[in-house]
Amino acid sequence: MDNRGKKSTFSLIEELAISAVSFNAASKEDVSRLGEQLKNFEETAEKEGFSAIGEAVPLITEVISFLSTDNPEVFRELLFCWIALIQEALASPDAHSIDSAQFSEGIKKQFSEIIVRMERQNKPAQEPPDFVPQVPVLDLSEGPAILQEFVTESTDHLENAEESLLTLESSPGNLKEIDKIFRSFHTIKGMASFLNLEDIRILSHDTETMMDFVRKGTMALKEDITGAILQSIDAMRRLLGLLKEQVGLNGVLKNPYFDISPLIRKMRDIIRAGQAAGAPAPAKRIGDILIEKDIISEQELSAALKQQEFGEAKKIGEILVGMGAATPAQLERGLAEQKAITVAGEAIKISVKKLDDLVDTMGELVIAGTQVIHHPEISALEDTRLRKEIAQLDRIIRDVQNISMAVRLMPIRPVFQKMTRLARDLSQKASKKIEVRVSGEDTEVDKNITELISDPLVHMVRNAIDHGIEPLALRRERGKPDTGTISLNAYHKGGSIIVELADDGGGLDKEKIFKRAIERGLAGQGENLSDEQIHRFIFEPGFSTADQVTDVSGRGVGMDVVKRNIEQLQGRIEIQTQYGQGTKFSIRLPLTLAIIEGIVIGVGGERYILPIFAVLEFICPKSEDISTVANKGELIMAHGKLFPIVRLDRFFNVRYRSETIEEMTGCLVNSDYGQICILIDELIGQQQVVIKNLGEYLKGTKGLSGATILGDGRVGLILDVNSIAGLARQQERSKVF
Amino acid sequence: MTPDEGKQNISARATAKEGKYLTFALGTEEYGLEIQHVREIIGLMEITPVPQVPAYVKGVINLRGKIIPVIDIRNKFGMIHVEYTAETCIIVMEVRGTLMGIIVDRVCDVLEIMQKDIESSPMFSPDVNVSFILGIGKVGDRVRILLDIEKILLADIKVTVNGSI
Repeated sequence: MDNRGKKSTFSLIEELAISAVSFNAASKEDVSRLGEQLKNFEETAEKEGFSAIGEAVPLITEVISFLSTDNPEVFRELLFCWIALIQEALASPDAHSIDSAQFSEGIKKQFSEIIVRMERQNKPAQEPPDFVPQVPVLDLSEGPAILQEFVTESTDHLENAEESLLTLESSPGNLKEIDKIFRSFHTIKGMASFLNLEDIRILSHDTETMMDFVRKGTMALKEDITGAILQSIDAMRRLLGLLKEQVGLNGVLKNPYFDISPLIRKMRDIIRAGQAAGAPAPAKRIGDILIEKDIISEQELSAALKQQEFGEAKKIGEILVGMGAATPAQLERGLAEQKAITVAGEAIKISVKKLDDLVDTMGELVIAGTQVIHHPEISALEDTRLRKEIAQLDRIIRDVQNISMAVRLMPIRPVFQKMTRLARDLSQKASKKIEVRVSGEDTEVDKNITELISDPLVHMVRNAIDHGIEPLALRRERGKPDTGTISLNAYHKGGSIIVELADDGGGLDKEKIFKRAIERGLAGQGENLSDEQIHRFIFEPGFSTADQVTDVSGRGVGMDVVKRNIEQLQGRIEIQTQYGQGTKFSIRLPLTLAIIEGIVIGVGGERYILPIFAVLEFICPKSEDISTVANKGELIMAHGKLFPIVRLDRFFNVRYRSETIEEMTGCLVNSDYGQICILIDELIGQQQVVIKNLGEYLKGTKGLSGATILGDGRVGLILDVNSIAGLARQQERSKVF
Repeated sequence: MTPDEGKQNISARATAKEGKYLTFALGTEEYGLEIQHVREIIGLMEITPVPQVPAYVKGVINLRGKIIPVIDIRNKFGMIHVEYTAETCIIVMEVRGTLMGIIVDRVCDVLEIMQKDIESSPMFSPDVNVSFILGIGKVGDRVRILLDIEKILLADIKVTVNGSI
């Protein structure tokens, strides 16, 4: 009981920590979600007897309402500090008996220290005010429609600017991107001044000025500028958010306002420096980059340029590689620095419902088409022209099906962009130098997947920065570059999409994990386990080998959530790691959630579908392999291991056709309750099935995860292996009593 | 009894409104469904049984690519089962955005029922569940029991959800 309770409070604080990392004070949703999570945490903590911890919740909830909007940075600090203290308290052996008053006092003291420190940072002494905040009147004679348009457009511009900025971090000197940022802010400025949105105008003006210096080469795009621009983007987003709330309202609109003066001051400092100083123009051509890196010589470059000039329609990089002046890998790295992001094609917004209907109807068309085409009388026709036309019709149907499926796909880019930003923020927090490399961001995945993959990735990025990348001293000791690298990659492979997250950090410590696994009773002393098996212990709930806990991660309640989330997406996660070298997580996901690869099985007169990811193998059971254990049901021996047998007729309304076990087929599957053997009458085949949910009325029916329409137009139910294993277990238990 | 008194007697329950009703038969009895909920009427087709649900849920069918549950209204009302015939139909209803089918012996007619012809449900003996009944419609010399399909189906959603947790 105690253990369970602890876990639940633990997982709640872990969730809070996740929310805190990606918390955006400008988002109303984020604020209310945080409030709810805190409330929930308070209740659970008190229910489970952590009274002092529960009583510490109001300390943070009190400040959400005003601080999160007025001073988001201070609020963030307070929140992180609060979570760290709670985590620390929960970890202590006497978590249940902490003195409430003393604990609260401790938190308050830390809070006030933070507030004092932050205020001092924000208010440099004796600065003449560059910028006097004003609350101007908003002239909205143009009506709310134009305002709405402004909000939408500016949001897009900000997003583009942010993306370009992140691109620039990995390939500084890319003039195209710098220009893009400059133009984005320029446009916003124009619109804002037209609408009399003074704050946004000033912000965009100053940002534009900074970018102008960068563009002209008077200033290099260094961290301070990037940071200031990102802050300015955030501030504008908040202003736009505030503005948006008022769009629907009639009557007088208030000019959104919060204190942007510290940021303006910061930007003006940079601008002053820019006005004073000059810096060399940034390099931009691939040849220049390679020369800078001492990979090629100038002679080689000019030879290559000549070659390009006379006939050979090749890229300069290719020529250089062809000449043997640079290796393909070197060229690739150079290109990565130079890389410009292509503008995404034009797009329109479509409701997901319409797309789903399209896919539904498409499925029907395919089935109806197949039925007509394979109709015996049609197949018997010998008219060649007609047969040709039928074949053509079949092809068109399939093309349309593929297109309608593709409509739901979108590039994974926004997710990667979010991770890049997160990594950037976290690395500063952890005082580690980290470079994020992104590739394959144009890989397309189902829309739902882009939404659901984000949470697990946030977790993993946090882990990589916190535990993966070593502290500077250790990195130097190991002979690694000071800057740690985290790479994100996505690509298609055999009907799946693979998302990889790799770091060049410390790697997993096999010995340590094994030791912890033994301590926790997950493995036996001296048990012979493969590396892979040992590494997978990190996916166990509550598993952590971290010696110290930071405010963002280290509680061990994390990787199990990651694994669960990925399994929910019908995916799988794999680890490749080398101690001291780094870790690579590969997430394999289906291309779309709307379709899975399934195995069609027959039981009695019914056909069911087993998702292929759950299936290990099929076996031919023999009666001598089966043993019955008192009160534990039947077990079957396969490959020297025992698997519990699950007979579907026990809880499904079906009757097996097979009379003896030899006529049946055993299906070994992975479930939450371990591996089990489901008995079936026959194995019909493997096919892709379009998943449909069972609807409101049958939602949550045990043993099923959905349904699909089979080739003959009948409904096939998709089995939920975990819930079937659960049902079987329940039944065995009830037998005991 | 005036309509107002009737309303008070049956407290918060909805009462039948004047309008068009689709009528169907179960044995000799005729029932009416508000036409606004009826999407279409289809002949009996192959039903895929679903495990772990109450017996009156016969399973699911494929209605042009949509998977919809089908319930046997006889079974639901605790009436004896009869063999399905050529007249057996599935009436596809839409209730609060959810499609579902009900199996009935026979579809009869679409009737316009006037307010003056509607009576609130009379008090049956205590073991008759009247909560599914909106009222009684009289057209000519025949009586139709007007069903509150929303209540019938929503009550079921609750049942299945409870049964599954």
